[in-house]
Amino acid sequence: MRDKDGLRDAVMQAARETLEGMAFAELTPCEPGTVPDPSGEWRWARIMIMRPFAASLYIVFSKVLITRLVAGLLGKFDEEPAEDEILDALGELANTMGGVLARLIVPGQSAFELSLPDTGSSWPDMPAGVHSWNYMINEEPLLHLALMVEKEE
Amino acid sequence: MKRIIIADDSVTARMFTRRCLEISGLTDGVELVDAANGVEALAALRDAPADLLVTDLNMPEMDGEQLLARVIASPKLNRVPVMVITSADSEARSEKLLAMGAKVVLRKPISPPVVAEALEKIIGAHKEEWG
Repeated sequence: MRDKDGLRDAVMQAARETLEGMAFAELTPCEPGTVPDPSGEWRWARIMIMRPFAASLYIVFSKVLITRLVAGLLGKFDEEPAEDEILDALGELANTMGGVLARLIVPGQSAFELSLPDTGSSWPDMPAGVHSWNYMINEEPLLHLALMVEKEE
Repeated sequence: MKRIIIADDSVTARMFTRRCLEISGLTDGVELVDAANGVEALAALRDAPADLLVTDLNMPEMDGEQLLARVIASPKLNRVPVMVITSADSEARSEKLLAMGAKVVLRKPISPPVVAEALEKIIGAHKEEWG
């Protein structure tokens, strides 16, 4: 298993590969000290690696940012995507990101298993001890990524 | 008319796959049929002849691996080539799916050139069916 810096690099690579591949979006880290405000408007997804060890990846977008991203994905330039479209796209982003991440952190060529993604509105409940990082997409805030490795085999 | 079934529980993923197929230029005049899981895909395959099944693995009700096993086991359906597009793909899993009978296994995120290349490979191997 990687150390915290190794996990950060793997999460960032997974996010970058997914967002560039699906949405032609560029990911950059936020300034150090950036702290998201949980009382703001957020949309989140969680994907879990179930096997060979347990880990959870949380993907939390500001509502403004995910709305813009999904509008681009769906080619909806004259109308705002519906809430169910936003959450479906967010779940698919999490699913794809989780797969890339698992290939980076699961040792060797071992098989792994992913959960179906959960999604929701507002700020998600995350366990204590989760590692987290903040990013901008196309220079707009804010994407919060958090990873909890719950049980290592 | 040719018919392709696209099975994925995410509307976004189905739309993305559909867009990649359309950009390839190889599906002009082909009917693209959406299915939200393996059960719906199997029903669509039984409704009318299909020329290709494109499926995700991680789906509720019936997942892609179960769907592939059902297609391969069916004398009526086992000529339909299967393209798997999934995020839950490791070397070991890919080898297993190919051994089960999948023609191609692609990793998400997919891109139009990757899908086009896979489709060309399948069409090349099924020239009689695709004309």
